[in-house]
Amino acid sequence: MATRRSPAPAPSSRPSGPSAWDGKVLRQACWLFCFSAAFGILFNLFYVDGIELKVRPQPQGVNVPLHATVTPVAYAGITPSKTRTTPPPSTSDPLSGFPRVSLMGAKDRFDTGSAIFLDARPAAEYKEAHIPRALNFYADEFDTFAPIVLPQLRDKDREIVAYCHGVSCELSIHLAKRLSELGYRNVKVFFGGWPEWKKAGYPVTQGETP
Amino acid sequence: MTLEQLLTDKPLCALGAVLLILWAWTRTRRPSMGGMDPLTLATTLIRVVCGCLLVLASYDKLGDAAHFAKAVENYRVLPAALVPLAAVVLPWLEFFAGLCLALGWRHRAAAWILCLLMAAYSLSLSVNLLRGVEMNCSCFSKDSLEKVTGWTVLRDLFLLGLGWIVLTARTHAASVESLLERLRPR
Repeated sequence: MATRRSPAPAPSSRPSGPSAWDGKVLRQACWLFCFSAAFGILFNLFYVDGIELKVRPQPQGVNVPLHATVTPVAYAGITPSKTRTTPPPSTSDPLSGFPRVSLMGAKDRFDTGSAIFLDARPAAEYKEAHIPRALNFYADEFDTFAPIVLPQLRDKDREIVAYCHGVSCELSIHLAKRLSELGYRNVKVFFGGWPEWKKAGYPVTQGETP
Repeated sequence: MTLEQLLTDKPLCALGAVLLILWAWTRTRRPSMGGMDPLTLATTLIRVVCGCLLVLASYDKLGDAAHFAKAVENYRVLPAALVPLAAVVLPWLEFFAGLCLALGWRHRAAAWILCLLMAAYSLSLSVNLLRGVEMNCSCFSKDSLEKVTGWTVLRDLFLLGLGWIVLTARTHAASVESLLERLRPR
């Protein structure tokens, strides 16, 4: 019985390339990974804005050390895709202990006027531009600003949203902590802060505290 | 058009598609006897483009691990204990792998890293798309407000494919390794 031979493959003009699973290349890739990891860890160790690599479990609540770390907190970029009609609920930040407000949450609160915004940046930066109706309360000069701003925050159950330079800034957390110590029960932090608000093209204004 | 606008999903998908088509086309060309092999030219171009893209992707994250940690945490695919470590290591891994690819030194090892990174990124992006989470990619710019879409996954898959081409390419031109090879005494 005649067997039907499959046609011979067409002669290739190009030899095949090297195998991706070459042991030497895999070893080099491991070295490259180890070198990058070691470099990154050492850089982080000596860099002024380095972060703590060890995540410490934080108790819920506000009485937690503020300088612990600025690392992994869910941040304002994440929002559920469903449309909401009420301001989105804030979730507690695992490291600072304060409820955080997303960009969308901050905008909703701004639109409805349901919260008082506190700008924890220095006065000069606040004067340059800030969220409309936000009060300037520079966290590093709390005692200077307190007599001016606190009389406007009589209702201690009113929602307060503190913000500053964004996720790498701790001024808003400092301010939230001090206000909590004074008995304000509904203090939240907008971690995305001024950079995120400005980037989103939301309303801004200039000048001093109204 | 600014660099920031170019480094968004759709232009990068288009770039990936063009490079893949170019590579496929040059594979059908016979190597010329005199001048440079078109396939070598195409793989070299792919290697350099991938390297530059990785370096650009890492640039904005290198000095801001705190911000990047938040972006990594948002993906919700890593245990909390690994998030800071990933935020510190990943940008430098992208940077050094990109540098190796662009310069053509240990580029096959760097291509492996590129493939693994893109596989991991596309997987975690797909998981979040399936979860229905609307989120920022934070891939090229930490301040970018561009949302993750199917294009983002496609972009990473294109880069994965391009990385695999670099990894399995027979020859490369304009690389530090070929220069060292030429300088080596026979």
